[in-house]
Amino acid sequence: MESSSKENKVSKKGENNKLKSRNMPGIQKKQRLIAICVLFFCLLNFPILTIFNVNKYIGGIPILYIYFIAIWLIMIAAIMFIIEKRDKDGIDEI
Amino acid sequence: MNSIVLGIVSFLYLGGLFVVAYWAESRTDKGKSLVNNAYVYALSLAVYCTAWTFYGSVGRASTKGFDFLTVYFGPTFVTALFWFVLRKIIRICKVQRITSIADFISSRYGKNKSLGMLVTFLCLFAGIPYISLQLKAIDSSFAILSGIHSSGYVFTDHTFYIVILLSVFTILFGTRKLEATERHEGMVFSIAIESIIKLVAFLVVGSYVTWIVFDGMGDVFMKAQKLQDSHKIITFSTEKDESTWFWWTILSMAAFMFLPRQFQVSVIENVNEKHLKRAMWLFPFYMVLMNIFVMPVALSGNLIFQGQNINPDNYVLAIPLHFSNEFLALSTYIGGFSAATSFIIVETIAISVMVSNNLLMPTLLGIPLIKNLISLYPSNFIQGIRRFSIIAILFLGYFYFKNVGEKYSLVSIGLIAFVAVAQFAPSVIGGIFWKGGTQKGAMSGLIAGAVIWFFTLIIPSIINAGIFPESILKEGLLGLSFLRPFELFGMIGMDSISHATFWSLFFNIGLYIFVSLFSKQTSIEHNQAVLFVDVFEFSHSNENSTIWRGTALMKDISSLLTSFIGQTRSDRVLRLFANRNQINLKNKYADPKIVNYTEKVLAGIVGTASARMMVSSVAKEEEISVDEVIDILKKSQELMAVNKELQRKSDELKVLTEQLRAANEQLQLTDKLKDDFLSTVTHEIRTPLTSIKALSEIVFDNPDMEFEEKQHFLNTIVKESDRLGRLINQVLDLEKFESGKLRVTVEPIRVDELILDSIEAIEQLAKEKGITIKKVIYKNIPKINGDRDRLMQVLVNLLSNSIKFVEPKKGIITVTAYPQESKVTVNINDNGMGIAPEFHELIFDKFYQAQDQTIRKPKGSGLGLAISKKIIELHNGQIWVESELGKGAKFVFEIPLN
Repeated sequence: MESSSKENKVSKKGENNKLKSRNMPGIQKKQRLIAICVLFFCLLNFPILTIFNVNKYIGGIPILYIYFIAIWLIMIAAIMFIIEKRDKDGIDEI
Repeated sequence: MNSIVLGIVSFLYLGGLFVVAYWAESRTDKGKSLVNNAYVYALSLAVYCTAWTFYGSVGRASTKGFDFLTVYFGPTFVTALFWFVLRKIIRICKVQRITSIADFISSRYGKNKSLGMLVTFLCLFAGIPYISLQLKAIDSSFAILSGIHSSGYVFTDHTFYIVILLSVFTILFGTRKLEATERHEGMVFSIAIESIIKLVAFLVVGSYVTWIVFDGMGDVFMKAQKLQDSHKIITFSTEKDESTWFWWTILSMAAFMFLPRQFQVSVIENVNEKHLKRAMWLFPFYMVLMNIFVMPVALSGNLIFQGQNINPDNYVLAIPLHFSNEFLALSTYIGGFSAATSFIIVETIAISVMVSNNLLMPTLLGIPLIKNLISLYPSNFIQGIRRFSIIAILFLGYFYFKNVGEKYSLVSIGLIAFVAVAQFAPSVIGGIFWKGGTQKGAMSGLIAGAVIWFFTLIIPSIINAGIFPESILKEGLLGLSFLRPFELFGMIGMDSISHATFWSLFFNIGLYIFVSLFSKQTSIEHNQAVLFVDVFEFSHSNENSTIWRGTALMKDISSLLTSFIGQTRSDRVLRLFANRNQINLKNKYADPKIVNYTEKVLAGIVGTASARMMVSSVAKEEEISVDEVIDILKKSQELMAVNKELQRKSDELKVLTEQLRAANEQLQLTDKLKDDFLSTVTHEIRTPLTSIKALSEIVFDNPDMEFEEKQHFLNTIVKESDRLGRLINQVLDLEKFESGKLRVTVEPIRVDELILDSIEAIEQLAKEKGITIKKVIYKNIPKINGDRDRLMQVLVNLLSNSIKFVEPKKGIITVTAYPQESKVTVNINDNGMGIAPEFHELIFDKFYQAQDQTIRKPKGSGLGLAISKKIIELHNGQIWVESELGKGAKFVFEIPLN
């Protein structure tokens, strides 16, 4: 009796994993977006900002100002790229 | 500018807003919704950019530098997580019929009345100053443009009339329907339009300042270098700046999603979860555009008004006025006006729903006398309450502005509101990802956060207003030095907002987690916790996942519902639900599912806590233990998992069945082809056999036959036997090709040699019939890789076919060979009878001629072309015919190089 119930549990787990793996594209998308959030949070915070926190200009425009706008736009492009990319099998559930 | 003109423009603008909203609503009624659109959704999220953004950012930037950007960076980080967090919140709100952030928190933690009230109070305390801030912006922009500082009060003050118009708009488009869960499409569409207006207005004034007043961005920054302290604006100069930057980012991340207006447009007014995708990058991009000119305008203002006493918050208006560009000043005024009004409208709707559903309704329902009164005309009553709240909120904002608000800058009031709203983050985020969060935990976290917010930010502002003694700031509350509002527990080195953010969130999160870990959930709390955290698993079969046990008379339940939504609708709603779930409505006692469903419908109207109170007043509820709830939910979850698995298996089966069916069809077809093939082959074999038999019998029966005649007969017998032999060889060949047994032996071949050899093999036959064979072979044809004998078989076959079908003596056959990019093409042209187009593909079928004797008289087995096709295909080439009846035929085949 015991052994058979154990087997049952094992096989159930296997099935659960299968079910989960069918949601992979959604989970991957989610993880990528979290990674983007963390990365850009670091890029737009101290201590990284100290690198660009200098009283210098490129083409008359302060370096820090250029850095802010550029990183901001890159982040938006990254979000757009990840979220608008079509999943192969169209599964969006998370 | 004339103040009357300005007033007229403002009122015309509001009138336009009415028209736009009305138009959008009428489109919705016709089923052509304008709001069911990802772009409109993204634009409506831009209600985030208020007058604070429009005027205040410039003011802040001109004195403090870049830190205004944190308020936009924070939301950008959060939008990256929309798909993961906000989508879940939207789904929960749709399933649970939640109408506001207060309702959300109250519903998650066991439909608790007090939690909803607490959240509503915080929203009110934060929201009213925020509304007054927008009114202040409208007022001061009006003053700057007209040059008249309106000192009047109420009837002599134009802002008062604007407030009246705004309340009319909000009541008209915000309380049209009883259900607070219903979307307000007219309102949302006008907000989206306002978002465009404010963006365009700001971009126009920004471009004007940068390129017309100055000579581009570089010019502005270079000139600003000469300003005193300019380096403090374009860089961070102190350590305090760094901590401000960090904490303000955290603050705006925590507050962004739960600001009442933001929750209203992004969650309650969401039509389709998929719209989030577009909004996730479009909305941050909107913020980039909105901020790109802030720094240049701020520095330009500093340059132009150097040494003059002009409030930097007003630079955007003051600069065009300084250069007497009145039209531009007016358009900028309109932009700021639209930023302020859109905020006021959405914020007022959001807070009014909270006030009516989470504050007034539960309180009033708790008083028996009033409860009886309400039950007479519930729907009128609720709408009345909501309208009353709208008016009350707007006028509270107005009076706050008139009495207190004038003392503060735009940014500081906004940030104080942010800190209040950020207090919701732990309970909401914890509530949707952690089942263990309890009501006591949420309550203690929120109370602690709210108290610290009040002590560190509100008390100082009251002190500034002169109500409390200033000694509290320096010596602490009651003289206790660790209770100084700006240096709580002696912590120093932060600005007041960062300081308040840190301490309030520290205690809020800490208490939420620790109290949750050390307290127990009731059954309803646990039920709600599971439904929230696992919403994506339950949302399909959600109607029945709330566990309720008790008895209620069907009569009571239906009359409760009727009193809110009317007889016809309540009948229809109940009937539909009963049909879906196979429930008999005629029973004396209501099915628990019906009770549950009724509660949910009511929750969409009066809020979760009040709905629960009303249902429990007509139903006798039985207590269910937490263990039971866990057990039932687990079972239903397992059931769902099994269902999913079954569904998956049945899908797989479907695919398999489809494949089997296709295979079967293929088999049947092949079987039929085989039968056809067999019958044609036997037919073809029988013809020569019959003549051989007949001729041999004649020879056998007539031993004294003349020699010449006998010779002739025997000759025919030999010919027929040859034909039989050839036929059998070809059948065998074809069989080999089809079963894939035959492999070609590949070697490099010269095409010209191949053609010459083939012609030579057949020349004799042609000469006998007097047919000319011409050849046109291009030079430098590269060698092809192939099976020499097989390719020759194809050529001979095609040539002999042509010989058969051209007229003797007159026939001309031309063989052409030439190279193309990656292949070699060979044509065989004749001037014979030709082939009608409909047979161009059929003739390559086996025994085609046998099936249609009228086209060509059989002079071969009917397998030649089929075999040729197989050979060419084995060489990865193609073969086809181009011809028309009576115009000759052109057989073409191509062999790819390599």
